[in-house]
Order: sequence, then C-alpha cells, then structure tokens
Amino acid sequence: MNSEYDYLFKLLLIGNSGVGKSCLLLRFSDDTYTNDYISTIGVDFKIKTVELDGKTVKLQIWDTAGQERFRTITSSYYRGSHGIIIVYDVTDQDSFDGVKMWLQEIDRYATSTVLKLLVGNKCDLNDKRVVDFDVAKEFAEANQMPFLETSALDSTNVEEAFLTMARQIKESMAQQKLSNNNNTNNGNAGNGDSNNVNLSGGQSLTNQSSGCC
Amino acid sequence: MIYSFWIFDRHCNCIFEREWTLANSNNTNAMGNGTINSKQNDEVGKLLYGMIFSLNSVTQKLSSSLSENQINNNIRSISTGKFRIHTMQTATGLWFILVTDFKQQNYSQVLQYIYSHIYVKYVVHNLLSPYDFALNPKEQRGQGIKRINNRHFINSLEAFLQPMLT
Amino acid sequence: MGIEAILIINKSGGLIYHRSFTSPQVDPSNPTITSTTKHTLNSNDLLILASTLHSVFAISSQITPKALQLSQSNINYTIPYHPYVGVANPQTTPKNNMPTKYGSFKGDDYFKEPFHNWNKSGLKQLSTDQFTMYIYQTMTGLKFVAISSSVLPSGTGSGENNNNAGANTVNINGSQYNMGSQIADNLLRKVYCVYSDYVMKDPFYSLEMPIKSDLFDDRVKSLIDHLL
Repeated sequence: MNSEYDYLFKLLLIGNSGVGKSCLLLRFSDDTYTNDYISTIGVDFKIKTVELDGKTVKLQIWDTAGQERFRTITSSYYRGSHGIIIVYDVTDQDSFDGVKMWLQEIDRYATSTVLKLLVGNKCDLNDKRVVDFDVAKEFAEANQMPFLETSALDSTNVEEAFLTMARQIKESMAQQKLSNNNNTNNGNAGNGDSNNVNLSGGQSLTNQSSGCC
Repeated sequence: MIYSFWIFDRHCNCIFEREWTLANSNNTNAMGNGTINSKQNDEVGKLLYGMIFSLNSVTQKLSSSLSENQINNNIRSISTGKFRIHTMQTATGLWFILVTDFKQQNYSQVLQYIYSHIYVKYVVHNLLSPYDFALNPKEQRGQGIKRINNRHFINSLEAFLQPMLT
Repeated sequence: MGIEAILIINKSGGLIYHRSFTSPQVDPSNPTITSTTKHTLNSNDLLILASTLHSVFAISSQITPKALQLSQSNINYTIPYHPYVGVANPQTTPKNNMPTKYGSFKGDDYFKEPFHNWNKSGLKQLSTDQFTMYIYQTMTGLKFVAISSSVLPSGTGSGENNNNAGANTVNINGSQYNMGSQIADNLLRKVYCVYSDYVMKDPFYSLEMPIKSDLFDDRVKSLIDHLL
C-alpha cells in the first residue's frame, strides 16, 4: 500500500481578513511551522492526522486569505470541500456582518450538503466584545450550523469541533456509499451528492466572474 | 512572441514591469504599444510573483528528496496552456521574468543578457539609482511601490527585446 | 526519460495517489554517495505540494497576458498520439514477453488517436534545474502529474551532465509543445485509462479518496517500466 492514510477530507477556513483564522489552527495541525503561502497564492495548508474507527484520516485545512485580490481565486477552492469553517472576530462587528456574505459564497460555490461551522474568535478579549454570544448563537441556529467561541488561549473546543466534523463527514460518506450501492435515493444523500461532478456552473476553475461585490 | 517582462526584488516587490499588448500593429513607436510600470498590473504582478514563489518553494522541497547534492533547484520555466513563463533568479535574490509564447524553448540567455548587460549597466552602476528599491522596512511582500524609471534602462531594454516581439 | 514519480490530484486539490520510482543509484558526479541515504518527502509535504499545484491552476488563468486576452488565440490543443509509450510494442517484442492483459481497455495500446488537451489555462509543464514536471488534466478536473528527471538544456551552463530527453524541440503536427511534453501527455493519459479501469470500476473505492489498489499499482509500474 503506497498511501499512509485511508481518507482525505478537505476543510475550508474562511472569514474576513484579520479575524485570526490562521492562529486558530496553530496548535491543532501536525506541523507547527507556518509557511508564507497565504500571502502569495491566497491559501495556506494545515494538516492534521487523526484516527477514526481504526482508519487514518488526514484533515487538510485550506486556510484562505481574506484579501479582496484573492476573491476570485479562493472561490475556486470551495470545490469538493467536505466542511467549511467560517470565522469572525467577536471584537469586530464588520467581520460578523461579513458572515452573511460568506454564507452566500458557500451557497454559490460549494455543494449543498457541505458541513458548516461558525467560530467566533478572540473571546478572551471580553472587554472589547461587540458581538454577543446569544446573537451569534441565534444566527447560527437560524442557518443550521453549529457555533462555538474560542481564543488563542484556549483552543480545545476547536479541536473538538474539528474532530466532530471529521466524524460527521466520515459517517455521511459511509451512508452515501451504502445508498449508492443499494441504488436507492432516500434521504439527503441522493441529492446534491458532494462526490459527484457538479455541472451547474460557478464551479469551474476558470472564467469566474468576480464575487458578489 | 514576448508578452511581458518583470523584475522582482528580494523583498518580493515588483520593481519593473513592461507589458506589450499590440505587438502586431503597425505602430513602429515601441513605447507606444503596451504599458510600462502600469498601476493596473499591480495585482497581476503580485499573483505572478506568488505563483513563482510558491512553486519555487515546492521544487526546493522536492529537490532535496530527489537529489542528495545540495545545489539550488530553481525554476527555469513554467508552461501553461496559453503561455510560458521564463524565470531567472540572480544570486542577490532578484527575479527576472519573461512571459512568452511557445515558439522558443529557452530564454535563459536573453534573461542573462538583460541582467548582466542592461540591468547591471544602467541600474546597478548608476549612482543615482537607489541601492534598494524598498524605501523603508515596511515595503515588503509586494508593498513596495518604487519602480525603475531610468530611461536609459528602458530604452536599451526596448531596443534589445524589440526583435523578439513578433 | 526517467520518471521519478507519479501523482494523482483529485478535482478538489487533494493528493489521492503518489508513487515514487527512484531506485538507489550512484550519482555520476560523486560516486561515493548513493541515493539510498536521501530522505523522502513525508505525506504532509506531498499533500501540500499537490494542493499548491492545484492552487496555481486557479492563479495561472488570472495572469494571462493582455495580448492574449485581446486577440483570438489560435492555440492548437490537440496532442499527437505517440505509439507504444510505456507499453511493449508487439512488433518488436516476442509474444510471450507481452504483459498479461486484464482489463477492458481498447487494444494493446489503450488509444490510437490524437487527443484533446483540456488543460487550457492551467499549469502544464514546470522545468527546474533538476527535473521537469508534466501535468495532464482530464475533462473532469483530475490531474495526473509526472516528475521526470530530464531537464531542459540550459543556456547558462549548469546541469550539463543531465540527459536532455525532454529537450528535443520537435514541432509535430503544429503542436506547440516539445517532444517530452507530448510523450508525458501520452503516458499520463494511459495512467488515466488504467485509473478508469482499475480504480473507477473498483466497487470498494470511495470517490475522491486515496487510491489503495494493488492492481492499479502494478499497471502503473508496468507503464513506467516499459518507458525507455
């Protein structure tokens, strides 16, 4: 066997620039080094190897740049992602307002079955907080996604959230495989199947119109 | 056919850019077609540099796994479906980049000539030209805005590259 | 040309297959050191490499020169067929030496006609001082990557002792790519054929996930072995 891992999941990290997306993962990933990719090609990669039910799973996290100039490029990174993490800064109202825009992007470029997660970063700066926990929680529930707050000081719940996400992806894949094998189309596994080629436009790497702005 | 020519300094800033747009027109005035150090090309320059930078760091990693002798493994050319990018990195960390079509395989001698006979002569040996194009330590990673505007440099570069435009 | 490695990158930029073909060999410039001591890239580095290549695809279309955007380009995207790349030629090889065929591919050479290059604006070839990387992209966005030890001849004098199989600038059928690139595309398209047969038809394979198939491994190895 040439490959050391059984599964490879693609997770996408998005959010306005300056919300601390990259710091969020610093302790979570396998390698502690950071490279400069993000400022050059608009994306950086962090990898975490986890064991799930005896299988080796590589979680590859695509950490995208929030800068405007990468907008058309980063939208092409949505392709085939299994999970998307939207990050905002609890001390920055603009970044929370931006979440709506990011959700639109997800609707546009990602498959409908993609798992979402909302993360409020820098919750240790309580005196500067402008986005209330309850407001964000309500918003996340309205959009049917899990929500958590975190900070660079305490990133344990982020790890937990990532592992939960990985487990969910693996389960939905097993389900999909089952439903494919049985040739049935029940449940949500049949429609918008994330493993199939989506020909509905907006997903091609080239000729993309610049985002919604 | 040559589409554009770029110089990036060691701070990742673009310090010279020349793009030819209407190479086939009858306009004999070389300065008339295309742009020099155009603001519009800022973003393109950053993307071009970013692509070369990231590919170069990948190839450096690969070379250490493919070969045990620790010589540099720099990128010479990058071909896409539509055009080809030729690169040359100098020992001082400058990148000379030429974007061309597919007719000619190798432009390394051209880039070498531009560096040693035009850049060194009109920019390095020019006492009025700044030693470093970044005006302050903040001007890194493509933040720098100072460009080579020396007309002797531009003129001789134009004269040298003119025959290759068609 | 010597193929060092074959990689397959799925349409979302994940590395789903990697195989290295380098065997211990003596370096001509320094015979005392053999390549067995060299370290290989770990799986995380390879994942990053693959995803970087994928990302560069998105960027390279953004930096298309204005002259090309303005003019109607007449680039020919047809890649000529080269017979028996990576496959034993039945005319020159005795019948009993032929590899046993088990699969549904068409005939002894997979395909026999020129084919279309779907990789219109993405990265196609990357030449460095030490190797050349060729990328073949399928219509569905799957990328097959070959890393070859052959290098382009340099005008400045470094790297003379490398063989330059990839350097023959033969302009066949008006195609703008060099011989090495055409051979690589032919080879990688065959890897794609093998992939279609042994990976896509495997009922236990999960789409877009790492390929773990001995049959596929064997067939890829055989393609590389027959490539001289």
